[in-house]
Amino acid sequence: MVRHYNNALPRPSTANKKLIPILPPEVKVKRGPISLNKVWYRGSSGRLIVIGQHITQLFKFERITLDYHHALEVQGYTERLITEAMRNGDRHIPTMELADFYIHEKQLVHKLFKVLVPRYIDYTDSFTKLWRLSPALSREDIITGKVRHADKGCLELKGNPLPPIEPPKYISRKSYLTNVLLDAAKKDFYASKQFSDNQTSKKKVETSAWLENFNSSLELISIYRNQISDIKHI
Amino acid sequence: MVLPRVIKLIHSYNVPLYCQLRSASRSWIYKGGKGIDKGKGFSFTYTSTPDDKRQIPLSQKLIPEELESMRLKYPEFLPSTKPEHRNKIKTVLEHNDMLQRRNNIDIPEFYVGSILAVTVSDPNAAGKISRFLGICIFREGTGLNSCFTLRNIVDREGIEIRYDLYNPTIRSIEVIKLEKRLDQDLRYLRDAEPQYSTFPLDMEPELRKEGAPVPVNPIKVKMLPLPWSIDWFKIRYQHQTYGIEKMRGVWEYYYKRSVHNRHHNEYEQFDLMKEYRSHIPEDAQLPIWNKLSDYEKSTSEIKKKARRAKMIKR
Repeated sequence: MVRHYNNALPRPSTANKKLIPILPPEVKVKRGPISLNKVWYRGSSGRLIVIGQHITQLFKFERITLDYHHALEVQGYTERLITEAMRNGDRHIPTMELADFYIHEKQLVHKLFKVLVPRYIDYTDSFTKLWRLSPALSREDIITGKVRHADKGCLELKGNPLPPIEPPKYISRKSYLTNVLLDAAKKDFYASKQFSDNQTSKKKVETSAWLENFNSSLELISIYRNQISDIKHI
Repeated sequence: MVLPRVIKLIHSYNVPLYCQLRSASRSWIYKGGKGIDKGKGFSFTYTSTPDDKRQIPLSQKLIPEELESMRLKYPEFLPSTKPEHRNKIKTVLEHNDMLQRRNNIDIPEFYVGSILAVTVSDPNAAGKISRFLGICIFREGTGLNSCFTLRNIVDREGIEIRYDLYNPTIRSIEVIKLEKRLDQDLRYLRDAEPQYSTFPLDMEPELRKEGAPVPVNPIKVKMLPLPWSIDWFKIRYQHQTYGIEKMRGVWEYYYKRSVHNRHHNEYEQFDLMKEYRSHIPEDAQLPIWNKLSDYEKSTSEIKKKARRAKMIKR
């Protein structure tokens, strides 16, 4: 009879059967698989079910909060699933099996092929973004060392309709018209006779000189403003 | 009293840098009884990060159709499937050596399932040359370590020889019949009926047109009755084999038992990241195939002439 223990030879892996695009540098791949153990889903086959739960949530809400080390793992799987859907389309049987496995709510399979694929079809970067959040703890727990939480992360799909997490970028206001005019007024003022005369009398009465300068600059601004209004009328 | 001090000093210098770094890098992983495992770190030679930003969108293929079949034609030029064993500098150095060897000997394209004849210079053999003919069962290894095994039955005894592909003692490799099989691994021929792996040693090479597509032989092998040397059922379950004829009443029983006994990932086929780590992505493959196609163009005419001269001699 055949022996019962595992005496299988090292088999050739199924490597290089496909042509797979490289994952962008935002996705961290330089590590082994992370075990996402839960009570009811154990082992390597249960791990994929947990990832599937996260992916359905992500496709549904487009932004989710979860443990950071879960998010690291989920990010790669979502990117690969979307690229597979982009490459092969919805008439390909193995990709539909993949989508059926990872997406537990079946109405979201339509969303993958009809909404997400056309959205990312011109992308050269990653489709997802990961943010690191602080672990939500009460202060007592931290002091007593009762609970040890993992870091939290926020995973989102790019191009979502939700308000952005990122604060709006700082735009320099130097190019605004009023600021340009003010700079020009300053230059003119420093070059003028009034300034040089004031500077000689500055040592005697400093406070009065400052006030005069300020008033004169205001006058200049008003003159410029009138000029602009004239131009507009023309 | 001086000696041990010196030895200690040498020892401290000899500790490689990556060992120290690795211990430091693993410190961020939670340790303890119920900690959260954040994954085992790979070594620093893992080459998957892209050098430059990708310019073509991810929906389009990067490799042109002409070079798509190169990964099947020259499997030894790809870096290893295990990301721990990859090294960028090693691959570049080895490719130069392999191309130098290919200038001296004509290594033809062949696949698992095609019949080959190899002549090796052997000091103990009569005439200091030994020739062996057989079917190629298996190809393994990457770079200069790549090798292939030939199988044949001579005088009712099965013989298998494994040759290194870039061994300098090899004199010539002849392709006698170029074809593919349904599987990448034909080691189940050991427990198949002997008619499938017997070939006459003075077999004549088959003529074929240049540039014609390689035919696939869809033969299904009859296996010998039990006992076998190795449990082929379990292997069938993990990676499906197509070339074995189905036996009645046996398959389902072993299929069930293999699931029951071992910790098995039922959804291994859906594990996308495992697939990604075993594959070599397009962006890493493209510079290799560009280099090889340039080499092919430069040496194609010289090799054609050499092959024709051989044929005329016969």
